Amino acid sequence: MTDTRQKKTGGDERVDRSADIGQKNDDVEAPRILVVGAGIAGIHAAIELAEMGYPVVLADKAPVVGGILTQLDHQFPDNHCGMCRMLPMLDRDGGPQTCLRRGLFHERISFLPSAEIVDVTGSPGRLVVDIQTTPAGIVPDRCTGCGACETVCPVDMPDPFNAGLSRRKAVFIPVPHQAPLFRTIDWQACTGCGACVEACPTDAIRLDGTAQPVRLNDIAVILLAEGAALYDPSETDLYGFGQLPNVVTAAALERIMSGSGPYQGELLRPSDRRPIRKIAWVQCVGSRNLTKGADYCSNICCMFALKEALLAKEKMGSEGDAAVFYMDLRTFGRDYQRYRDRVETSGVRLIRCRIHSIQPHADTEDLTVSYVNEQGRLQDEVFDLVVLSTGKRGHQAYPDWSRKEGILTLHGTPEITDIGDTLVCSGAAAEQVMTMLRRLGLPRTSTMAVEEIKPETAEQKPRLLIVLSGSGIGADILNRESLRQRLQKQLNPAGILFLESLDELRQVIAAASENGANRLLLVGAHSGLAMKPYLKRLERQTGIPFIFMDALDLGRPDAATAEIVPRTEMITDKITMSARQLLCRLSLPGQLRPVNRAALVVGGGPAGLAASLALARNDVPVTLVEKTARLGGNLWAIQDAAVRAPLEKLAAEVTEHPLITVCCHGAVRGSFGRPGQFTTRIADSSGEERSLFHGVTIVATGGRSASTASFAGGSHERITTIYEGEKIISDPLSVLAGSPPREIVMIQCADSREEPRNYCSRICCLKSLKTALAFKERSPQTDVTIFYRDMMTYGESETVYTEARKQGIQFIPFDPAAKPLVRTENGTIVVEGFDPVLGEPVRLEPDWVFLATGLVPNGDNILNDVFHLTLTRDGFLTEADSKWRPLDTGTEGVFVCGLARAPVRADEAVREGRAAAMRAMRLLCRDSLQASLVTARVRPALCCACQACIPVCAYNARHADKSVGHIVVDPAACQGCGACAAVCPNNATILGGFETRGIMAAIEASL
Amino acid sequence: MTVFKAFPEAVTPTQALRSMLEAMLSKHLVDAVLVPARSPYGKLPMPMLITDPAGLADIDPLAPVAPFNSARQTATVTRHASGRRLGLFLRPCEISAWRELIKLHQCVHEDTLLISMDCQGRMENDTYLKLAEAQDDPTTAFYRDVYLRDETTVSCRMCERFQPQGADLTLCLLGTASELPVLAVETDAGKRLADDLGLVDCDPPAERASAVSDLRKERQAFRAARFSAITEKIKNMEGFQQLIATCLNCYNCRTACPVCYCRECVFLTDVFAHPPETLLQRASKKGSIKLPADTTMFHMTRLAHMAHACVGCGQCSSVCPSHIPVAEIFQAVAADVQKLFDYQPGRRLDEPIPYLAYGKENP
Repeated sequence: MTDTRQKKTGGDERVDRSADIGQKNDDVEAPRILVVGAGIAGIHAAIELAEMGYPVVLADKAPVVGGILTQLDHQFPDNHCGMCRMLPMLDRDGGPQTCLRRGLFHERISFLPSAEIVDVTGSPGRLVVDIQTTPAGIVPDRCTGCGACETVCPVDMPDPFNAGLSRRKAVFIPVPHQAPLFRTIDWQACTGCGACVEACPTDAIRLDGTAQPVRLNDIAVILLAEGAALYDPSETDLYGFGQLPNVVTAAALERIMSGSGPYQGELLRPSDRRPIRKIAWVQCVGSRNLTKGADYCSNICCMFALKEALLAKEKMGSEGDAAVFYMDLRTFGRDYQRYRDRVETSGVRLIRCRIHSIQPHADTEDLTVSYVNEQGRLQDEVFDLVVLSTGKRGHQAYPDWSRKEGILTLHGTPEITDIGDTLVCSGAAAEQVMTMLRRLGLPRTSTMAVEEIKPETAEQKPRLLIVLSGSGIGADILNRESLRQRLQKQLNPAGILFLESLDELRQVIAAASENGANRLLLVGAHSGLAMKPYLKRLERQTGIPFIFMDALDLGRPDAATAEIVPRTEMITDKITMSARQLLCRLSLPGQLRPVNRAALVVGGGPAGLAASLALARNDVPVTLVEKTARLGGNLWAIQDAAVRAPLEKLAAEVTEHPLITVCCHGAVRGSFGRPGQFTTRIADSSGEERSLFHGVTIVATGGRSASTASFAGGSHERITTIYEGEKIISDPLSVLAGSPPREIVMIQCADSREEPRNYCSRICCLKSLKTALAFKERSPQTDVTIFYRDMMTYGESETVYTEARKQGIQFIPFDPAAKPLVRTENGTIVVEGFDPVLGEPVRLEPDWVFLATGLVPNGDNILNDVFHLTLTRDGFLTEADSKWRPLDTGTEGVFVCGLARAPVRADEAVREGRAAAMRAMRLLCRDSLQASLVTARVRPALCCACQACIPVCAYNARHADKSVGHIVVDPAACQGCGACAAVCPNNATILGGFETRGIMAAIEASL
Repeated sequence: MTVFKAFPEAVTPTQALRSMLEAMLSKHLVDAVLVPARSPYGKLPMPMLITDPAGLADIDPLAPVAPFNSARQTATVTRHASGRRLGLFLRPCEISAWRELIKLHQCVHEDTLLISMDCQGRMENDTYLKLAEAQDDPTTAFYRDVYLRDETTVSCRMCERFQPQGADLTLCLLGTASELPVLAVETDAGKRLADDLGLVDCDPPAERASAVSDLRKERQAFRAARFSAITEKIKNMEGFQQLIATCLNCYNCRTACPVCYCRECVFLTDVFAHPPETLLQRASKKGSIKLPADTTMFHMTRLAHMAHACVGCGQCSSVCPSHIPVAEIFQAVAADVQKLFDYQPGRRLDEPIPYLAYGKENP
């Protein structure tokens, strides 16, 4: 589209912009998608869909993107952030940003801040969405971010961002690390005194907080990606929260530990700012509480508390003490048990108990925690700070309008899940959106054309156009003429252009053609990231390749620096730095690689089936290789009809789908190629080999239930696995018919959650409970005893645990150091354990013992080698990043899902399959792939083939080519991390966009 | 397990070595040997690639001089496996450097047989030439007169790694009578060769251990003294700048460095080929700048690149026209770096180079 809009003033700004929302792209034909909720789920779904070419409107109640993650600095397993890892890895220059916590800037994603949906009308494909938006009160183009408004604002109130532990004004920066750093006005707190309006040097404030109606027409599909609200312990008088200042929520502690938090990351307690030496975490506050009607587990709090305890312990040092009081520590992810072990090794105390009360200790601010320990005795302990691990707030529902056709949700109800699970769910939801668009018969977006860089542009002498935009560097503050003269002297550019606002792009196009510019530097005041999408538009309109353009964020005027260096001089230096770097930038060899729009799926279990069907439904031809005789994998081992039926339907759909070629008794013999272009040798049942040409691979080789010799497993026909138990009770003709067992014992975590298989298999607790309940249903007089370590009934499956207890099933916890003993005495099975509640040994003589043995990956080393896949210690396939890129592998174009990656339930495997298909389609939707600017290249004349760069490349993108005598890079596999350039001693490897010469020139300009 | 072999008759070590190499060539146990020898035109021994036993007449491998560290020359003949067997005579620091180059994929160790010695140091070229003027047989003179060790280079006198690591055969020169050379056989390949040559077993030289330990103590004391002096100077940027103030950017040190393996140094590439604008801008910011520029950058970069791999051969100092103690600076920094990563260049071929083993779990 061309930009014909005039500069807007004041109040009508929001409405006018909305008309343009999501239509930045030239693909006006493409149906628009509305994603509601800009937490990581919404961001991920929006990016996935935008990367498919759809314009997306991302709306959130908050003024910034990021959801709860804006407040959390550290995520396990590495205790860093890492949000950036979910940015698109293809066409990275198109999503030109590096830190996702600062905001989301994507060419096809428009963010609608402070927006609440009022109603949805229309029909699927043509939904009309009425939205109320709250104005920020600040006009972005005029604001310089100087902060004069905040200084004069008379309001002083607790800052919810820091959980009320710090104060803020009514005009404030919502998130300290956001970009651009615009303030916003809290209309509820604003007194309307107008002091800020007077103080503002650029007339950027509009003191009208009236909600603005915005109507979005022609929304094809809406995806609701809002998470669940968090439990607020002040709603009930629980553990003195609200009265005792040193009782805080886990989220508040996260802020205390944050460098941008109330105490700058120092571990101080709220009441007296004294360093904290002793912290207690109380788990399951508001969750797993039947009296409060909260018969659910909130999924994340156990790991959250463990992470906080570890971080706090590190901060406190050796004399610090951290204790976590819990009922069950739900470390149900693949790597969580080892993380728990790490936390325990670091000295954090994990105490299984119930908290009786929290009282002030004597007359101090300290807190006495009274709890009933595992031996059943009441015990008191004094802490500096008590952290309440709060999870989801009650059972929640989506609004009424969400039941309309054409509106999809992430889960049935708003949920709160771990980052990795969230991304899988939102990826799967994005796939659902795609499928719905297809069902609605809406045009598929044109595949995204990539333009080849014309060699002449690269060879021409650089002619630079400098565009300075926004009042922040305009006439209001600076002497334009002096700046122009300085820039002219320093850089001798082809042209210098001043704009009032970025909306005047038309002038840029004219200036570019007038000056014959082939390099463009867009300079703005504190809106650098936000300017990048404009560059994409300018690329189309000026013909200057994106790689020869850059956006420079001048940042806020800093009063302290201004005294030392005059602003004009500082700006000149900054512009010179960027310009020098831009002028040194080398062009890419204009190499496009066509994408082979076909997929290979390895493994025909639930995950592989789901992935295949999702791809085929979106017109991707799929070859599904299954090593056994029939599709289904573990589906045939599932006894629960409710779980099994949809999977059988899935298998049938796959079998019948015309775009899916099923190759049973198949095997993968070898594969080579690059993302978009793989050639794989597959063998069919007759052993005959053929070559398959495809663009992506999804590995779903699955896993199986483990057998065991522990607990006398296998030594007696009635000491067997829980899977056998499930089979027996599900089979009406089973050995049980007629003679119900008197007593059954189940033992959880057999050979699991301790070395060498130190992980939770996620499915066994639920399976044992369901089987136990089935026995109870068949014969209520049967006694069932379950020996367990931690019942892992996460999420809604907590209800099954509750029901089991209601049905009189006995639960006896055990420590791995003192496991129950199982043996046979004259053909009788004897189980001996210890009941910590009774404080005495237990001896049982059950008819059956069922062992929950967990899951092991199938593993296929040949296959893993073929696709350069790496394994965890336990043989699961490792993903690129367990949190932020759960289904990608280190090899671009190869994806992993299901049990091959981590223990999952069948429904979760299906979800992963669909989400993996979505990841794959993102790549397949392109006609051709152009390597990003930020990829490594090798200069043959300098390369001495020492191969230092090969082991440091995490993406298998480099190899030593003996025939040419130097290292060769696969630009499509290269992710631009720069590790190779760092180890290369003589700059033979250079990273596009970060050429040494450019960086040195920039440094030079700054000295 | 080291075994010791005696030579059939009492000869000087050089003669013993010559007859051994002769036998190796004539019995076709190797196809060529690379060994320092005097050329007909000059007195400085240079590495000679010899295939004809007759060419061994002028070899002088034990001469207390090494005009350069021959690891680089060795790498040129071992660039890839040629299918020919090579006998290589190298000093311990040359072996370390050559093995470091193997790890950097610049050459291979296949089909080679390594012969080395208890190294008692090398002199600077001019010191050696003066000795050669005064003595007919400077090599024998050197090993007879223990005080001549004090004439060796500072780096040699600081060197603790004077016993070769990874040599197949080592000529024992410490604690042995100079007329009764003994060969220490360290590897299976060395044993096979000794057997093929018909060398007979003998007792370990009785005084070798104490002689080695004495020399080590002497070197450690000297090393500690030099380190403390140089560390005092380079502890801050100003002291460092003073040390390198006379640097001409001739890059001799880089050329002489055996582990500086780049095909083309980054300082010769476009990165440091500044246009006049840049130099003028630098000058205008500071009022004046010294040319050639980037001197500090050059030394810092080389320190960053090579400190982990420095074998302490001292050639950088030897070639410096401005007499900058380059080697002492490098070795002082290298000692810390190598200790930090528990790394010793050339110690083992399967030992990963520190910057490649770096990882999240292994910082």
